[in-house]
Amino acid sequence: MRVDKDKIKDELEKIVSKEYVLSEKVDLIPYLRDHYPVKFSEEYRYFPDFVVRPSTTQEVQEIVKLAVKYRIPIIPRGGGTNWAGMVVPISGGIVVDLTRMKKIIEINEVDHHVTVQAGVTLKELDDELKKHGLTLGQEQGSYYTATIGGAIATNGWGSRCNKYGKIGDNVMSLEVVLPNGEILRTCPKVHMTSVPYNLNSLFIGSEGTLGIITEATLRVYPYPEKERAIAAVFNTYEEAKAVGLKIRKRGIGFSGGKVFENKLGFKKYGYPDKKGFILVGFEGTKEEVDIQYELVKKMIIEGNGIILDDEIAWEEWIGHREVWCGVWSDLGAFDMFDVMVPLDKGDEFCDTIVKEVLPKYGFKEFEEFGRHFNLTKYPIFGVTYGISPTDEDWEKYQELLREAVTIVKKFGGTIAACTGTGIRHVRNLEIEYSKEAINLMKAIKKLLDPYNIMNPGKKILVD
Amino acid sequence: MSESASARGRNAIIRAILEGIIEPNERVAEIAYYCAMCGNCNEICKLEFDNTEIVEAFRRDLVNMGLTLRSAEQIAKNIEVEGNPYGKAKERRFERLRTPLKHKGGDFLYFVGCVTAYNLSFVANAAIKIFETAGADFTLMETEECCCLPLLKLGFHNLAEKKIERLLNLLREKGVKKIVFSCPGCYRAFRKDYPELGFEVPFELVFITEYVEDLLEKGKLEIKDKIKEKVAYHDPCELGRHLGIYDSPRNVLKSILESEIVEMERNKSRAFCCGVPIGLTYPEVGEEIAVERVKEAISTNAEILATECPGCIIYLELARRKLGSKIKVKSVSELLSEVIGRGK
Repeated sequence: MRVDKDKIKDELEKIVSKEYVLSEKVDLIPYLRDHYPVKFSEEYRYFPDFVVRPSTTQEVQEIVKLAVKYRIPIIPRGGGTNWAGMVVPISGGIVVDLTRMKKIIEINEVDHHVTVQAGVTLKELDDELKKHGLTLGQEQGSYYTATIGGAIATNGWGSRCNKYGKIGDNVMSLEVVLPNGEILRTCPKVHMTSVPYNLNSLFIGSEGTLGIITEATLRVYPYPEKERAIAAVFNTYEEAKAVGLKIRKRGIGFSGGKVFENKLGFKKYGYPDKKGFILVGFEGTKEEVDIQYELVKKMIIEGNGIILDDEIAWEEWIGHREVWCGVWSDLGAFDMFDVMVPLDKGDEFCDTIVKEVLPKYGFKEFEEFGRHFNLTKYPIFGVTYGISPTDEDWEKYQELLREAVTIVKKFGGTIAACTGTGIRHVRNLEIEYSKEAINLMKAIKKLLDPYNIMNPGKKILVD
Repeated sequence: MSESASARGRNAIIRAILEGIIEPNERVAEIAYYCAMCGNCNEICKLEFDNTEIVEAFRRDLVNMGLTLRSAEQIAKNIEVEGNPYGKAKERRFERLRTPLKHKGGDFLYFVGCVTAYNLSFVANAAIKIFETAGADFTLMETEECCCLPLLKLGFHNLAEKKIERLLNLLREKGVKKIVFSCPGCYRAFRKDYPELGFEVPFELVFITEYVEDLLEKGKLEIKDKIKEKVAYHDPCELGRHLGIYDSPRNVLKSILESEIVEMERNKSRAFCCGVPIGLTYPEVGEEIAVERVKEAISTNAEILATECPGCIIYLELARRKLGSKIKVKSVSELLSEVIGRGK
């Protein structure tokens, strides 16, 4: 449908007021990308037609109805820190920037739940919860920037997930503006229900392709009386890993941690010869934290580890929330696999990627980010590598992604535990999933979004 | 403000200009000046570049292209003509100061700064009282003019460099060896910006709280009565984040307080800005920032919000009035001046 752009602009301005409809090129530039390295010669290829900044569910609904009327693509956007190109406006259209939707609607101190608008950041919500003695417990790397709606729509992962789970685990109920403009309430705002199909699950990790999450009710937790972390270095990664697995097996209720390799040694802590590292964080009542800490400390010492100063451990522990904010996306030119494979196969997978696959494409692993996995019930394995900013490398990068999915499938895993599909993996979905699963996903997408206007070209390609 | 108000969005715009995707225009100038240059983003995102330097260079290039905001242009003109950002008469600079030109001593020069001289004479008077009480042999500069940090921050580098050269020559001619500052902006300009611009700064530079620490250590000041109220300390960006001075004002406070200093959650390298730098071009945004900061101070139950920066004091006080709060906004040296007597 060919529609006069000025007419659409007028209608959008009637919905959210002039101030919140952006259409000048300079104002659109900040909305072209996220963390995903789009092809370097195409960095300015995909412009949205408009960026609209609503503040209420009703405004979102009106925008969606307008998009349906004119069949214009919509790209819902929160903090814009994902790694998969989920908010790159590859088909033009309207970017719906939800960061003005900042209301904290209800904090229930008795039932331990909170209801918020989608544009509140994880940090903002935590700050507010703290005043009520509560916490969300979701410390993603993009903690300062990521929004609640974005974290749910990308199925985000937080460093404290051993205690608090992922954000998706804590979704009680959602309000979603569907691609036809209807407002859906997924279920009552309760901790669980066995009555309906689990509609929350449909939208967790949906990447804005099935609707726009406008409000979420989430389970929250008592703010811990005490927080503490322990960090230690080991001769090798293997030594650190052995201790990590023992801690995990013992069933200690730590809140998160990681096992890490630095092939260049931990010079910054005064141990250039030590290549293995472990970090474990604890939180809860004073008594339980102290007991857990002592148990882990003993296991580290028995495992040949050298315990680092408390300040170092604490800095490493809280450092995760600062690993990436928005500005990193300007740097580009690197990528990271965040694969989920059975824990006993993770290292073998990483070795295969680092030793056999990356060299084939001329890429190199960052040595200071050697093998690593998150010591939690969601043990993500990571490999970080550099890509030079050329189209030639970008083409190789696409081939690498495809091969990596093929390999991860052999290991019984998934290519992206927490960074999603977006446009990065959308063309490789059929490698990881069966025809039946793909067909069902396509059918769901078509049912909800018959005109394919909701973030088209991401997550799953429909015919 | 949309994504263009974030460091990420602004950097994307700058990059697009450099790559010829968009042309600088008036809208670009509006975006360029929508930043407090507080540097907090550098702390949150550990990067290998400084976003505030990028903003400064961005504004400089825009000014050179003739693109700036009217408010910024007016400030530059005021500094050019009257030597202060307000355009107030040069000769009235020290008229509200306590015994301003009586002192002709040679130990050091007290560099008052525009904000203090024209708007917060009580801060300068507190400093002068401290110097006098300690029996210091100091002087003021009759021809003192703006340190030009506002010019640099607003992108008027050509004018700034001319004015800085003149100022440094006057100080050299006066035979100055040591300068004491009570404004973190002026102190930063001398310590950081002038050398970075290639100027030689052949003076010993001391911030007032560092100077006071020395006086206290040598016993030249006596604390007659300790302050009983609960005091929260606000780190000014230019003193804290930009120069790394966090302990000195706290040490002075410790010596005059009966109880511990109250720390706000966002303090030291993560201190939240008072809003004054963005207030130069977007006053309503500056005020909004100040209100958030004062609310944070109020939430600690502090009775006094202390800082050592005239700009911060103005905006924090503005916010306090807006909130109708009873918290008192005071400078560290003002608090000190109320409780000191002559030492040994």
